[in-house]
Amino acid sequence: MNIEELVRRSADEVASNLLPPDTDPATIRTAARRTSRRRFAAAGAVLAVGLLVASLLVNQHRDDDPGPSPVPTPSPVPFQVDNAPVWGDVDGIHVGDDHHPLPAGLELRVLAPLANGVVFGDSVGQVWFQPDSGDAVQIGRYEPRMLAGGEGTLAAWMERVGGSLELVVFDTAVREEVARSRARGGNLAPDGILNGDRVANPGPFFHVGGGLVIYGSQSSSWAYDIAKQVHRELDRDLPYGQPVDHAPGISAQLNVSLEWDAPNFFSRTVTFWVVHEGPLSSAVGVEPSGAFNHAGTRFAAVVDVAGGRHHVVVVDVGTGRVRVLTPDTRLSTLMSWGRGDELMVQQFPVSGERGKDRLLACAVSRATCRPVAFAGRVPMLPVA
Amino acid sequence: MRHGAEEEFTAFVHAQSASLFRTAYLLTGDHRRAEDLLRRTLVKVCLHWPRVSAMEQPRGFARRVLVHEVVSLWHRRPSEGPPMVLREGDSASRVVWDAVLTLPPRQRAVLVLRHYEGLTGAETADVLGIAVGSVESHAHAAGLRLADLLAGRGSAPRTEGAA
Repeated sequence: MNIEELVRRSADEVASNLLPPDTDPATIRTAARRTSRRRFAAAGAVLAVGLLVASLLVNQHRDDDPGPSPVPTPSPVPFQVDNAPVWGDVDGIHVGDDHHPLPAGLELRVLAPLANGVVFGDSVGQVWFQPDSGDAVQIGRYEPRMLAGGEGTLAAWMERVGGSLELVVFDTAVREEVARSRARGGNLAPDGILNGDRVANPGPFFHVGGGLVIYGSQSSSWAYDIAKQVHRELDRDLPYGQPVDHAPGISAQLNVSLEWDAPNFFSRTVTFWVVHEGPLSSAVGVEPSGAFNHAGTRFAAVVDVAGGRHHVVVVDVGTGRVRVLTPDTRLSTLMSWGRGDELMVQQFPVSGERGKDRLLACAVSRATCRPVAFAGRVPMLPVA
Repeated sequence: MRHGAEEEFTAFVHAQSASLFRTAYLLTGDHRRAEDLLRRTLVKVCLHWPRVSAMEQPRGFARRVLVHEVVSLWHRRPSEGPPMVLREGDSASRVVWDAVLTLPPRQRAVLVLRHYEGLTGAETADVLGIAVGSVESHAHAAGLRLADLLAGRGSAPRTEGAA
């Protein structure tokens, strides 16, 4: 008897010996009504809290007493090079036509574009800031992969201090650390982050934006309020298969169906969890491989299609709208989200022919991609 | 819920609860946890019943919800380790299933969906939200691991082609 048959027979026998519980449909209906009411009440409570906070803020302004701010406000540096594609490869950092070689002897490991440059991590655990013009400067040390940049000029990373991890928030505009706090949740070592077997190409569950750093392990998710310097655990336990609930502070599990009419597309379902906190969201588990943009409003994924080829699709998290960026016959790999809505994609011919790789900068809102000149050496960074 | 829909839902619960419970048990190896998963699944099905009842295969939807509930459980409580095994005799099937329950969750889920629920590779991939290739690789890895585990117990199954 082969393994399959053995498993089949065992499953049938074990299952047939079970005594299923009595399930009362009326009890289920009552529980469903209670759940429905609780969701409604939670949404109302969130709305009420939002209104209260807004009211307090308005009153604060009326009193003309803003009070002490615990951290400097991140500088709103405008984009100096609109939508310049940003990527890294073995030669260093590329921002549009500008090339910034890495400091001697270092290799790039993770990269995140900022409004005023790029923050990146190297192979020996150092964090660097590469401004749009000028030389890279070391600004800290990080745990592998646990480095993120957000909108504006803020970067965040985890630094190991003694036996624990500290969350560091750094404003590259003023070149200062603006917050530091011991990380919560435990099991945040790189192997503990998104190491589920459903995540094929995980970016760390680590995002900064909207005044928050969102981080977590498989067992818990946290929002760190940069201004208040407090951590708050986020709720992951919300219903399956519903559109994302946009109420601040509410997490949701999002189920997006990807379907096309084109015969070569598989009808696929992308299921991932979203932890919402203001405008930011992030994946906890993702299949197929993919990554949110820095704002957390879009999710890019590589989807298998017939013949072992891939397509890169982008899902608008709020609406579920899907854009197909690379409807052709090549193998595609996500590289990184750039500034604005640009997504960098690397493509290979199915034949595996050398020298035919290409690098695309895709404008998601227009669902168009354009080739970017590169030296022909394989871009190396996975999605940050 | 309108009266007709209530009757339909009641019929659905009566017809499918036992089967869904068995799947939940095979996925978790824990009677109490399987009961809880069944209840959570049915509540969610009830919440969406008008839409679910219009589907060609409402049970397929319920199974998908159930599997996602199980996956959520794994994500929320990864530290709980392998599921508790309730020994109910040492039949050969029980020994095999004890071994199945020590597999990583995704491999276990693939085995249950393929060999108990009778889904194809593509259907399994769809329910789990993973690529078909991933299903195959999980199934392959599970087979190798099971063969090792059962060989260690002295009851190694013969694989196809083996003497």
